[in-house]
Amino acid sequence: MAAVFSKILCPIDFEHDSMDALGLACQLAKQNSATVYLLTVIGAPPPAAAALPPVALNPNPEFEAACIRRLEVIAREKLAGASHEIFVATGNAAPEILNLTAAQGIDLIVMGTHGRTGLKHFLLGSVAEHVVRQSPVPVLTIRPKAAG
Amino acid sequence: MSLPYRKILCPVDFDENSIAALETAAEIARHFDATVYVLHTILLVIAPTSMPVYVDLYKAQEDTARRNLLELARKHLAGIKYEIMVNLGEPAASILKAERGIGADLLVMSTHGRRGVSRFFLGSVAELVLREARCPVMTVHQHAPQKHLVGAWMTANPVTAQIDEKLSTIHAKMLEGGFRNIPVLADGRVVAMLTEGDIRSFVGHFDDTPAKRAITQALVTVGPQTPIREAARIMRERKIDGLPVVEDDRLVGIITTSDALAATTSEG
Repeated sequence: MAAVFSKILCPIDFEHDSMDALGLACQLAKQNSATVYLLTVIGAPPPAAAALPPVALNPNPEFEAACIRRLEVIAREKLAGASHEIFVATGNAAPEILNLTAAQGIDLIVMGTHGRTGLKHFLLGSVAEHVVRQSPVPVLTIRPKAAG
Repeated sequence: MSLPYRKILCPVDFDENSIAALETAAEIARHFDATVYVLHTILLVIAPTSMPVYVDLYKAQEDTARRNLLELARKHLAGIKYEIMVNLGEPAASILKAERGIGADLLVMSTHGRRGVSRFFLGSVAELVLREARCPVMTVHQHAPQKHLVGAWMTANPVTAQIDEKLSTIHAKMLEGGFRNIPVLADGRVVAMLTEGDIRSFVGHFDDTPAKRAITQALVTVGPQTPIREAARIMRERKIDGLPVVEDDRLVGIITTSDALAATTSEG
């Protein structure tokens, strides 16, 4: 049976929603023998920092390493052997998700509808909304279980 | 939300966006041997409670919708189990009701609006559904599935030259259109790509040179389903900047290095 998706991107913000999405991404990956791309986006420095010398813009390497370690743990615990890749980017979440989608030739994005800035029941997470609007590939969104 | 998906709900309007969603739903359904529920909602302008008698006016619309859905299903859901549903009412509410009613485990829909517009405007229907649906929702853009293929980037129905046509008229066509390549046809089939360089070497003899004498390149063609990456590779390796796009022996377009660049630099 032909696989429908081969590269599935699952943005992770270490909150509950993204774990639900990850579970789904993992099942889909196994069904399709696909690779799961785990991405965490570290927030960009505040605009004022842009005026500082380049060294100030340098993302904190320790924090980045910690994120990678955390993603590795998540991959080990939740992906149950599905093939995966880990990415950490710095900046705004939605554009970074779309960048990685283009750069890696992702063919499906799986994400929770509420991320770090969710007003439950009222707002579609702003990151999810931005991604749904602009993604060239299908986006599978999943609502947090608690609200269902 | 458990896999495998058994019941896939696909709400459609009768526009290209919905068709992209339906095709994605079909692909997934084929994979999981699932049933696709194709739903169309007829917008109710008059609340049925206040004017029940007018509901009959929608009967004709409903019949038409059902016929159109069947036609759509036959075309895009060949070999897949499907059910046709027509509801009256407000689209988001109708979709959510259907989702619950059939116990859908996946919803596939287009973000409303045409390409370009949809970048800024997530349809209110899609947004409501995304927020309220119990099952995962997959949103699809119109050109999403074809974005990496030549068909999405080529110039369709290009200007052509005939094998016996004089370079003078061909040159005029190229100047007028600003082309650097022109496909040459013989008996309706593409036989070569003539370039600006080919023509330039006959300056002063345009009136007595037919296309066939100026051709230097061996013919290489691609199809609309060829990945754009592959077309780019062919052009780079052979150092050419345009390829005829052929489908069923018929010239359907031309793809150039600029198109390939546009494809690789596009952010979607």
